[in-house]
Amino acid sequence: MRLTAAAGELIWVQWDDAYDVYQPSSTETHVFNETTALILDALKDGPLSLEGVREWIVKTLDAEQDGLALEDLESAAARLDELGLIEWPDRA
Amino acid sequence: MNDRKMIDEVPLRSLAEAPAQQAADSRLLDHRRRRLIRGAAGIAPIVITLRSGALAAASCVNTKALGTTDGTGLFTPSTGTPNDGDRCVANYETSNLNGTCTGTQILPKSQSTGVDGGLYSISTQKCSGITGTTNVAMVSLSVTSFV
Repeated sequence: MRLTAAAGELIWVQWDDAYDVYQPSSTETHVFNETTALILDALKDGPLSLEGVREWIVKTLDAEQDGLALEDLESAAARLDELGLIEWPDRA
Repeated sequence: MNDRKMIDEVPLRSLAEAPAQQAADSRLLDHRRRRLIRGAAGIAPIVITLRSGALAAASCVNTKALGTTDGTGLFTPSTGTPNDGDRCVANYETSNLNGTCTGTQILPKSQSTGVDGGLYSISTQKCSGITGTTNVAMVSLSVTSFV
């Protein structure tokens, strides 16, 4: 999966561990938690697989490997894809 | 890719002003610090989309009814039943992007003009912003859409 141009236009406001995120391309406002923000962070340097994103987030948070369920990450990534913030052409 | 554009007074990051490695290290420490504060539980990602007005139409789950209005604006549903106060979206089109929607996804043809038909009144069976013939989608004013 990779970031879209729309993701680069997001405007972020941080509230503790949550982010209010305004998406100019759709004029919608989203609320992301830190993990969702990290999904987008992980893709800033280039495309990654879902597993690659999970490994990056787990490492960044210094969390246990099983602390982030792949299915939870998949659901969030699917939603980000639907919102037009990432492209996930190899999605199952 | 642009870095995050923060609009609060204290930007989370200022990668443009710092060397890349320093910024990356700082970012790791910042995430880990908050991770320690929060504790071991709860790192599942959360996406909540705040919806308002006609933008609620870009939803997979909030569509209440589809139909058309006549020359007087009277709404006749072809599917579903609208509720009092539902948002009316004129000139809609349906889609199901990537097959991800479990219901009917309604997409405004234009997000800048002509999509917000006001609110539906159950007593008049009309939308406050529609006086002529058009196709109309009714969507609930749910403010959140959870993953």
